[in-house]
Amino acid sequence: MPIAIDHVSKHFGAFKAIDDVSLTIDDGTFVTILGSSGCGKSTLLNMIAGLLFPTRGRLMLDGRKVTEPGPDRVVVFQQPGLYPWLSLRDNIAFGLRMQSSAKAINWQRVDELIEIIGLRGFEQHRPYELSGGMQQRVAIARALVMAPRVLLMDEPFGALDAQTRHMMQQFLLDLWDRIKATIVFITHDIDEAILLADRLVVMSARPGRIALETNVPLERPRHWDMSLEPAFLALKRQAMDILSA
Amino acid sequence: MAGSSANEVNTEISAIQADENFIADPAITPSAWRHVSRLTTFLVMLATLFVWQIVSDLHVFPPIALPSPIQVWRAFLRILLTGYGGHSLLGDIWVSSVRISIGFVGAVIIGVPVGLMMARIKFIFRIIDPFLQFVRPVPPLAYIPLLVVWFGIGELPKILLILIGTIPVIIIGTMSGVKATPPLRLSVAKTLGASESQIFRHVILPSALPEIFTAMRVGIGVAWTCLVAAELIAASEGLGWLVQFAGQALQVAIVIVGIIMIGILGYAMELLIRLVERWAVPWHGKG
Ligand SMILES: Nc1ncnc2c1ncn2[C@@H]1O[C@H](COP(=O)(O)OP(=O)(O)OP(=O)(O)O)[C@@H](O)[C@H]1O
Ligand SMILES: [Mg+2]
Repeated sequence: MPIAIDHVSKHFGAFKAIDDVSLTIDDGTFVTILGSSGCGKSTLLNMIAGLLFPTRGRLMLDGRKVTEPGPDRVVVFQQPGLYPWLSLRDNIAFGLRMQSSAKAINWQRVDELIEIIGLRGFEQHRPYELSGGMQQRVAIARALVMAPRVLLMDEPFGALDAQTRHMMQQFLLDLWDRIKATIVFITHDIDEAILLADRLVVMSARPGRIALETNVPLERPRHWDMSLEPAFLALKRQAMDILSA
Repeated sequence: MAGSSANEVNTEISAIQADENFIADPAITPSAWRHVSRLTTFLVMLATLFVWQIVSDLHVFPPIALPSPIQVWRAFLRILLTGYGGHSLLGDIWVSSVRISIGFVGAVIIGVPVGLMMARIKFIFRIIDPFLQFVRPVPPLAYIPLLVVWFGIGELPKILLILIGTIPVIIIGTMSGVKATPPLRLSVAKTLGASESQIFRHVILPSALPEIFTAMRVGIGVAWTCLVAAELIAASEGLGWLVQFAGQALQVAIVIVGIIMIGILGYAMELLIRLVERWAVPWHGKG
């Protein structure tokens, strides 16, 4: 069942952050939302997460109105937001720990994910002993371990350097091929938005509106070489025109 | 993530760090500079003692008003071995230590839960806050006469004074620790399905710990001040009493010994809390 955003507006006082946005996100799709800074991307994502609520319109998940956050829609924020008093392993298990006692946790799944994010041997490290890229991978693993139906990602690679960023994008692409969750991925990087997405949403600012919603006509599995293909470049041109308008 | 701890101003720690990181001459490596800086401290202390000795040897002031360091050292040995005014020095140190331990631990045991509840439950905040606002601007020492009239000069008034002085510091530090929990940490827990009480126990409480410890470090200073003041005015033993009793007998060397003991003990208690803090909050300033 899909996420249905139905004529949603969000106002902060007199300021219209989101204005009349409608969007349907099908199960198992990788959607990227592209937009310049301040156009309301985070606001939209936080409403899907259940951390913020629409001023007008309806936001439905599986036909039910979103009224609170839930572990079926885990968020990866722009900052890792790890808990410094917990080890890497306990950070990843945090969500599971909230659902059950420490003994009932499926530690095997936790350790599998540590393997997947390539941090074997760092299990007992504290977050402040890890690099920014490592921390962000932990934050992703912490979300994935919940096996969420929907993974909401708010510029998760925004704070990383170009090299690490590319690595993480490839990591996410490979991962998604395995887990096939619904991913809503926010970014202000055009290349990233096109490379990752099945479906690309471009937002315009003040007020935040959807300016373009389209399929990305590229094969999977994706790779960075594809950013030179004509289909990629055509889409990029289209998105650039909207963002610079 | 830097959130809560970043805006804490701990003058003492930052002073130390500034000292260790400060490199005046780029040719001197940091570790070499640290040696120089340690040596400087040592030399300054030595020089101070030296000047003090000379000044008192020259009888610039009457010897009874300014005994030399050597005389102070002798007085220290004398009261350590044979005592003064019917008590041994160790006895006075012990009495003061027990009083402050009971008072301070009591203040933490009461102050932290009260602060947590006040930060969490508006109703409780409204009940307790007026008292807090009233007690806070009054210097704790102003309560001494009242406490003496009510409770005499036994142990109770001294411990009460420590509680009155220290609890507000702990409560306010705890509340501000709770309020300073970075919103991101809360959002993360919410989206991972944590309940309100789980968020409090697993996110807010550990987030508040660094500020609680900062409050404890401030609090131990306040507690010590309260205790010594109470002992000065109304006591028959303890370091404050020692200073007061020796002062009345014009035994200035013993007064100085007492003051140095009070200083060393106060510093030792702060160090002890720092040690516990490093063990309990190893992420402080790194999170
Ligand atoms: N709590 C709030 N109160 C008032 N205004 C807000 C609030 N949150 C967001 N806004 C405003 O809404 C607009 C959209 O904010 P939002 O955080 O969604 O932008 P964004 O697209 O995520 O930007 P960025 O790429 O910089 O993260 C901004 O202009 C911001 O000032
Ligand atoms: Mg944002």
